[in-house]
Amino acid sequence: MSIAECKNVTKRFGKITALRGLSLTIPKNSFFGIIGPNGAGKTTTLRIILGLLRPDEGEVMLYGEDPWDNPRVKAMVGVLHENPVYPLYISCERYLLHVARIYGVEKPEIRVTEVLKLVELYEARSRLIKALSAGMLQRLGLAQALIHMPKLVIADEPTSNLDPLARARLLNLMRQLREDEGVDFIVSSHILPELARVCEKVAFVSEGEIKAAGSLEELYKQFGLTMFRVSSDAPRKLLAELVELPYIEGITMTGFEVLVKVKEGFEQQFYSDVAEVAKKVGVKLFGVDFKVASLEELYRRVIVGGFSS
Amino acid sequence: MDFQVKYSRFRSLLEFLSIDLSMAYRFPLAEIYAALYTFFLVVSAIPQFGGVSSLIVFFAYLYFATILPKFITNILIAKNVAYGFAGEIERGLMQTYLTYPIKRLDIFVVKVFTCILVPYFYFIFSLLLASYLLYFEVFEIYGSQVLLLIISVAGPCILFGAIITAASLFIRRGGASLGLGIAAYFTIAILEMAMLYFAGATRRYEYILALFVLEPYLAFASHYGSTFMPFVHLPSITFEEAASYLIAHYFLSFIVFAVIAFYFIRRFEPT
Repeated sequence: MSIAECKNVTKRFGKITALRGLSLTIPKNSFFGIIGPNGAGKTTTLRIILGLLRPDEGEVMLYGEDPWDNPRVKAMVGVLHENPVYPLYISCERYLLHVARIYGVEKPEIRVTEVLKLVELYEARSRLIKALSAGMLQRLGLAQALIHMPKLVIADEPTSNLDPLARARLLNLMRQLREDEGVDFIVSSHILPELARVCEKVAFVSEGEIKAAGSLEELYKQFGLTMFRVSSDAPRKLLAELVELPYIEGITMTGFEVLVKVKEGFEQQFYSDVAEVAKKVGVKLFGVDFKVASLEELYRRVIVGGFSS
Repeated sequence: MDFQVKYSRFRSLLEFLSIDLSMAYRFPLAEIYAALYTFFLVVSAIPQFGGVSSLIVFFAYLYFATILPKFITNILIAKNVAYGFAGEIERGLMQTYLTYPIKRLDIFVVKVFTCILVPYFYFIFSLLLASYLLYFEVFEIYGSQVLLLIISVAGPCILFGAIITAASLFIRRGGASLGLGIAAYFTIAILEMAMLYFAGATRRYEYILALFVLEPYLAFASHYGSTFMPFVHLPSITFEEAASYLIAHYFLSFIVFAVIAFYFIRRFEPT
């Protein structure tokens, strides 16, 4: 069973169509990233999965159930909003105690202390929420999302209000929770390097539609972003020869490098062929290595549809 | 992990109520002053009526002594609903609450209790306390009728709360909802008075009977033959009829709340 499933979901806000027949399956045991430009429909997708919005058309399931007004499903999920809002005139510790009791956590005092230490807010536990900085508020958000040890954490732009150090800390914490506690994550963001660090699977959303989805490895292959990088003293000359190889799917040049996409299964042969070709035309090879494109390149390829190099 | 999670709907509701009450009444100065004001205004009204221990006089004094406290209670309800409902939707706090494992109906009930029923109850409590202390004899003889009269005086606060709640859910802005609440209060009051006057001038009692549902204390005034509105000849009705108007009034409030609750549970989407 998947964590969440959206089937042909359409959502309109007045005249604006935020989602257009979006279909997405988020598998269990994954750190899933929803990637897309501003206004693509990422937040709307998450809010529909959370049961905060009702789709105008289509169907949404979270753990096999309709999430709308469904406490049983919500009890399994922790939520971290982009701009978390909590009651202002209450201390962090007291608020988390309330939240722990709402979720039915036994021994809530012990759990609250544990979570406050985990998110490094223990020293500020008596401080009113009103007096917290944006970063602290985000960490409080993570604390309340984890208070009941959820199976899944849904985080919408979780690092948007944080400084670089706090971002790194938060991402490390999330990755640690994924690895040590087996917590699943669905994270939306447009900050790609961060997602590349933590996500195992992604979906690209643009104009309310899923443009591509799957594991990063699959997507790099699907969009031709796994390639050989060949550096030499005469790349143009080398390119002219390499393009004749029958298993070449794509080839381009950037600076002193030739980027080559080969058909699946011909990787080993390419290593020997490239050496032979270079020798034949008298080009000096500096190196041949297998290159996986960055998430930014994949993003450009999927969303914009252009070539990266 | 050495802890367990045992979810209980009732416990979640109580916990949410605890958060909401502590937020709404962190410094309940306005509410305490309003309750004291109601109490002392009712107490100070005695000399005007010479302390006569009869239900009719009690009713008359109750009506006049509660005009201003009722207004203040309505304003407090408008403030609570505007900031507790619309304001929380505007800030995004309602969205946070809706991600917790609490039924939407429970959230709605807690909000109505905190924003509307708490002021309503302290208004009634102040009236009951003042009436009991000053009209002890009346209380001893006509206890249940006194209670009905007090509930009839306070009833429009609930209906007003229902209307302002509906408006807050659509406006979703605290300040605008408060402004609308105050405007709605005066609009309703002006319309009622206009209808009363119109009924007196045209001698068409259908308007009066409709007003009995909106303002059930008028039904009791009609029953007891109070003449505090000399320009209108109120039709004579029995106590049971007056009580039935009171029930109809609360039923109307309940229907309005039920419609809003239905919307909140089935369609409401936090922004």
